[in-house]
Amino acid sequence: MAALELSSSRRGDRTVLHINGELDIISRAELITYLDKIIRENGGKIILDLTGLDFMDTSALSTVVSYWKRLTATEDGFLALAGAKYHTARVLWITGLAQRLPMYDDVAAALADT
Amino acid sequence: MVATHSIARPWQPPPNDSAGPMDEMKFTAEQLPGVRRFTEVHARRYKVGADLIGDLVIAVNEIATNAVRHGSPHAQLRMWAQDGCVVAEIHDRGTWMPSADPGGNPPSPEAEGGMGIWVARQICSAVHIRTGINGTVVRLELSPTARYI
Repeated sequence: MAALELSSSRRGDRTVLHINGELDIISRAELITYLDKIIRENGGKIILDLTGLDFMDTSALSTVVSYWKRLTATEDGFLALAGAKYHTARVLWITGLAQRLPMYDDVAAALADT
Repeated sequence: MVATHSIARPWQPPPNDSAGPMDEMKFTAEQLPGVRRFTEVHARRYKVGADLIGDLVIAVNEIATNAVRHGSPHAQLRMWAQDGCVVAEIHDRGTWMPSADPGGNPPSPEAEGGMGIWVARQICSAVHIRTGINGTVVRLELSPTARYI
């Protein structure tokens, strides 16, 4: 199994989800469960902290895109990415989605802008 | 039935023992992290540059994921160096009927899946697909100068 650790912190009405480890076809199920839980409990303003990400495949990227679309379709929801780096999240750039998804250098920049 | 796609050079058999070492591992979906480690370690041994190793890991992981997700629960990865390229071949026992040009078009901006082959094509210098009653073989070739950017 891919090693994945998820934790979250509330910042006002926003929730920062810290993703540490590897996101692939198996471990993305944990991400889905965790995202559903924090959206249900805290609301749909989500910042994904990818600073500690080691690997992401396109199935995990598809999951992120799907939540981004779902949350931005709600009245005050959003999903932003923080701290994504090329060498660990290169599918974002290969697919061109880095140009479409809201991306910030780090969590502080995401919090300042949302 | 045999179908091949995207033939940039003739499909050659994997090398036999006398031609050079070939490395292989069997895997399931739970072992995809191991597939990524295996790819990284062997690519390094074949003197692939650090950044290209990251690309190759992405490509192999995508095809290996498709193999165990759509092909068969157990699949196999083989790697070797040939003519200055690194070759990674993923074999599953599924019966896949690919479209005329699988992964030939970029995923739509709204795509929520099906990006694997397209991504592998962006990374690799050649992607060969061979399907038949014995399963599906996808061969990825990466030359040291391959770059999608």
